[in-house]
Amino acid sequence: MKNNSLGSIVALQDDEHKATQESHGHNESDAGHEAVGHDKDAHDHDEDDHGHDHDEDGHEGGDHDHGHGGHGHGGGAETATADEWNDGVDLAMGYYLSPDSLIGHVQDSDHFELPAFPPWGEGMAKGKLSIPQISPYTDDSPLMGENGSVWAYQKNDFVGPVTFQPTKFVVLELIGALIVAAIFIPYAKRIKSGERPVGRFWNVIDVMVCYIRDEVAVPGIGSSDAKRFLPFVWTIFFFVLTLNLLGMVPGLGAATGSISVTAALAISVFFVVMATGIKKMGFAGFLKAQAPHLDINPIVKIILVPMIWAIEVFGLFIKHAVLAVRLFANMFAGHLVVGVFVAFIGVTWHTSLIWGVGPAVIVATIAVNVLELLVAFIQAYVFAFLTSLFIGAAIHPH
Amino acid sequence: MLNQSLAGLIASGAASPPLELRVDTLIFSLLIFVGLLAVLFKFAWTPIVEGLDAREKRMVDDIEAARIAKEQAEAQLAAYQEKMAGADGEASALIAEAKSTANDAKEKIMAEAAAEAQKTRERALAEIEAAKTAAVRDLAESSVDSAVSLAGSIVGRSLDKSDHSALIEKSLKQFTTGA
Repeated sequence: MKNNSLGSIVALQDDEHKATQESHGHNESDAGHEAVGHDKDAHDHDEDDHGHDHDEDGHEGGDHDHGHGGHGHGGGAETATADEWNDGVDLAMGYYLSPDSLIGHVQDSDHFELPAFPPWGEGMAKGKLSIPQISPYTDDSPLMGENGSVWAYQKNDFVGPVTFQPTKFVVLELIGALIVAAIFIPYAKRIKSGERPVGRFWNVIDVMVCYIRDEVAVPGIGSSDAKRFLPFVWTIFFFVLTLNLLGMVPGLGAATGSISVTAALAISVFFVVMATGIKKMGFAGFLKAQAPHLDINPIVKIILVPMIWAIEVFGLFIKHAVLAVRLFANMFAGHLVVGVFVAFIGVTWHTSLIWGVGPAVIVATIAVNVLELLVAFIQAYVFAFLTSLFIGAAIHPH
Repeated sequence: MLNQSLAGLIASGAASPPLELRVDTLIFSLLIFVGLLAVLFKFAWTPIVEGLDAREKRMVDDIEAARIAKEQAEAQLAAYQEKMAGADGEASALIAEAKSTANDAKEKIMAEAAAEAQKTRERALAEIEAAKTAAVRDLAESSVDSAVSLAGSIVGRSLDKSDHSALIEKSLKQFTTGA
């Protein structure tokens, strides 16, 4: 067992995966894909890059004998001999703590991870809550990573031009929106009726609402116009904050760690900025206002102004794109760091280093999670503040 | 092994779906965000803005009312202090006046009492004098009667009424003159 490496376990899963693919035939038909339950997502198996490790191991025969738990055999859980139990633990460690599996937790997917015991055998299938799909897919094509490994099965060849596949992050966004609505509608009733916010929770909400208004919206947009844009800035801040905080809940995920989600928010900001500027100055006026007024030689001006204008217009798009990338990168990177730390456990599982690495990883992961909690608030604040600044810049150009 | 796995992790992270811009997720996200914005705009943000404005107006009004009340209280305090200072002088004057009045009353009462006592004394003296006079008269009359009676019995004749009166007058005169 000491020689049993992560690579051998991953390779074992690859074998199982191939066997499953053959048995269910999901490469050939949609029905097969549905029946398997999507276990072959991005967190699944490296096919080759670790595979050569197990050739000299000599233990795989045993694993193959009773370790076919990946898709419903569940032999380990039923017989539960010591060897099978140990093999199951190895299988689970290799499965859940492999880099690809850990990355799968960070990225979007079509299912939620659920706790299951034992986490191997049938547990691997039970530990997933699939999200009902709207559009069926005609095919799943493996995307080949470096060294020929499969890091994801991309669903392509859509039935329509757009799949409209509800994913984990979409569900989390819905949950986040419901949470925000469930907090602020009662808060609004309380404030409207003239009641004071009583209790720690409502005071925190009250403080945040007033802080965003007084320290974010008003300085960024200007006191005379801030009130018009307050609902937008409030929604941005509390929605982003809620999505960030949902990422701290085990089993869920940070929807803001997806560029698709942050791009949607940035596009919203972009449209508000454009609409505000155009409403204020007219379309031509808004375009003209992108170039600053220059008191220079007219001949130089003729050359410089178009160049500056082009840079400014380009910058208008860039800064909104960066708005999306900044939030996405911060949230994704934080979770990726946690994933890397946890991967150390998988890597050192079969060595004596685990006794030092394990506790260190736990401490480091807790520390990074605390930092992530701070980042969740900071990034929501930064997003809302930049939104205010962009709107303010559209209202008061140069 | 470690390097290989980390390389795999990093390679996977660099090219993983979080960097992939999925149109369907983007559209879902836009719809959810716009929907949330619309719902909150109607049911949360508008009432919150109104409520916060009303609360701030109430606070400003309360502070203004408190400032006015403070000013009024200070003005009233100054007025009361002024009145208190005036009341001290008034009280002193009242006390002085009361003392003066009391002294006047005392002197008047004393004078009246002295006059009354003098009158009583004089009246008593007059009454004593009258009583003395009456007593002397009675004594004289009684002495004369006794003397006349004794002399008559000795002389053997009786005095008539006119003699009797003349004798009384004579005796009385002698008595009053101290003879």
